[in-house]
Amino acid sequence: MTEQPQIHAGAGAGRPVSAPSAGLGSAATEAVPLPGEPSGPGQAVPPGERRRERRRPPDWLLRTLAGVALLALWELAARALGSDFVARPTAVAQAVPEVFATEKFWQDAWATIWSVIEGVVIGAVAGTLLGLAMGRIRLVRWFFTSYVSALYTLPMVAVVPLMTIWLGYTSETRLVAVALSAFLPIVVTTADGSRSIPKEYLDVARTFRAKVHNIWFGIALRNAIPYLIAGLQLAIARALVTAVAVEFLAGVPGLGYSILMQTRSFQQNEAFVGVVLLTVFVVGTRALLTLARRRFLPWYGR
Amino acid sequence: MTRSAGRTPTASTGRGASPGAAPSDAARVVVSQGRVNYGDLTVFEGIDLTVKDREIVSIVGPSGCGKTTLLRCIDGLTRLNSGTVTVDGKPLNGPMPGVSMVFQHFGLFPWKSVYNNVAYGLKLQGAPKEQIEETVPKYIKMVGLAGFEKSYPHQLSGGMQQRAGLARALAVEPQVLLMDEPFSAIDAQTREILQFELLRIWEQRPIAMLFVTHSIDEAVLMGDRVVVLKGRPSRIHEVIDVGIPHPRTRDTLSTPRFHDVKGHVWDLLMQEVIAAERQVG
Ligand SMILES: Nc1ncnc2c1ncn2[C@@H]1O[C@H](COP(=O)(O)OP(=O)(O)OP(=O)(O)O)[C@@H](O)[C@H]1O
Ligand SMILES: [Mg+2]
Repeated sequence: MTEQPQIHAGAGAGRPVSAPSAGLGSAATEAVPLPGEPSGPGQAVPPGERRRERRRPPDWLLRTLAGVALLALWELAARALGSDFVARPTAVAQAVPEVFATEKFWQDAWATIWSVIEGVVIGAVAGTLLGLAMGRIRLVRWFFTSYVSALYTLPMVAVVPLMTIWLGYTSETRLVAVALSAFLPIVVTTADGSRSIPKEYLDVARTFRAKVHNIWFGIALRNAIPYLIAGLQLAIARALVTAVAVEFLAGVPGLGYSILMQTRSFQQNEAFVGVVLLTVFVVGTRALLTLARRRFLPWYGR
Repeated sequence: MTRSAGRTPTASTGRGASPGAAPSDAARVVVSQGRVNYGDLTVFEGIDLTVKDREIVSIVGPSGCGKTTLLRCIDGLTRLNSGTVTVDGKPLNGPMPGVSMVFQHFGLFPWKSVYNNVAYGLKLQGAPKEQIEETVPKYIKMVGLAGFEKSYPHQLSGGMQQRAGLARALAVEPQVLLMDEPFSAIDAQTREILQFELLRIWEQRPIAMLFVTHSIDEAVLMGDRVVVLKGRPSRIHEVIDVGIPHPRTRDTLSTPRFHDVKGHVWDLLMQEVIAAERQVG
């Protein structure tokens, strides 16, 4: 799976690092991202990295070049095979204007993406609340931990057929499945973030006689935000996988479904345009979240 | 345990307090027969300590002797296992209004600006907006952070962060200020500057203050009395009246009296270290 947001290695800023995955043992299938510890002035930069920055051209240029090289390789390989059944980057590019001109493509894309947005919002709100409760109340943590980590490791795709029995072959099934798959990573990361509050913050709050809600929403939630952002990155990628899977399995109209249909009718270039759009969506949301973190949480590592 | 008054006679010596103000003997904080234990480990016992209004009491003692624990008991963050703490005559039941603490690692919220960090205590008290807008800038200015209201802690040096921590503690205008090694995470030069600034601030509004430190110089410079904790479990080994009038300045550091008291505290602490070494050896 491609759903691991960058891990921001915490260079010791004088505070104990608690691994967000420790509480739930959920790292079995995926590494849960570790938000960076606040980067203190003493943050060590590996010597290699500094050297690279001085000599090599900028990162983005290298990455773009690598991407172009890969596409070129693909193109050459496809031509060498000489088969019409292998999509080529140039052919996909040529199909773009035509596909973009069809109304159905945008309807489908919007249906899928909107269900992801809706599902992630629902999952994030519910997940944040449960995560906060698990982080702050021992009884709640004790009760939910094993269930959450069991569900977290379960591929949502496996329950989609069951969901269609309960909810039918409808877009509601998609929304529920998407919300659920966004919910779980948010619960896990928020629980860890609201649990690993530096002790001194709590001492400060108690000294000034903070009430429980001040601690929950003023400190625990604030402390969990970088974890929450990492959780959101996971959640969006998972949600999209689930949305497409439900469309495949339940025939719910959307971009995933039309990709399936186009592939079956050998319109693979058109199908690829859809794939590219979904990729752009995930990459775009991830970039937005990273930007938000840098903008609003500048004391965290980059 | 010796409970001699060191080299000087009774209390109330030397506290000329702020110019013109008559020394008041009202006891702000009284700890009596305080004991704390964690399981089998008794941290301290038999602690009797009184901090009067307008008095600075320094606490020194070897690492692990329970200085932080004692301060937390007075702040209401930790409970005594036996004995009592009263603040202004009221037995302690959790953190009390009028008691404020400055933390070793500052305890500033990274997501709040200096202004909002300083305003934190007032906001939790539900202070009216006008009061916050009047008080917060006043204390930011007092600690020398004017112009940095909008900065975030990560943009400040350690010394400046502790200035903000001090302003936050003072902004609620406490009767009792507790400080747990407030300057230990700060470089030596800045530390010296902050010591004298803290004394200036205290002289403007002298309140009861408890000051934990590992530095004997700092303990004697700041304190009207120096409490030496010692032993396992630790007890109050001696209370020394410093007997140097306020205002204290850099010149205080070179007075014979300062030198004598410092030497005495040093001897008391070193006995323990030497004894410990003998035990090991
Ligand atoms: N929550 C706790 N649980 C168990 N033991 C504790 C706890 N807090 C403190 N202690 C123990 O109590 C003793 C006193 O700790 P405390 O932090 O008060 O010492 P201190 O005098 O402040 O030391 P230092 O000078 O190093 O800051 C230590 O032995 C410590 O291990
Ligand atoms: Mg301590």
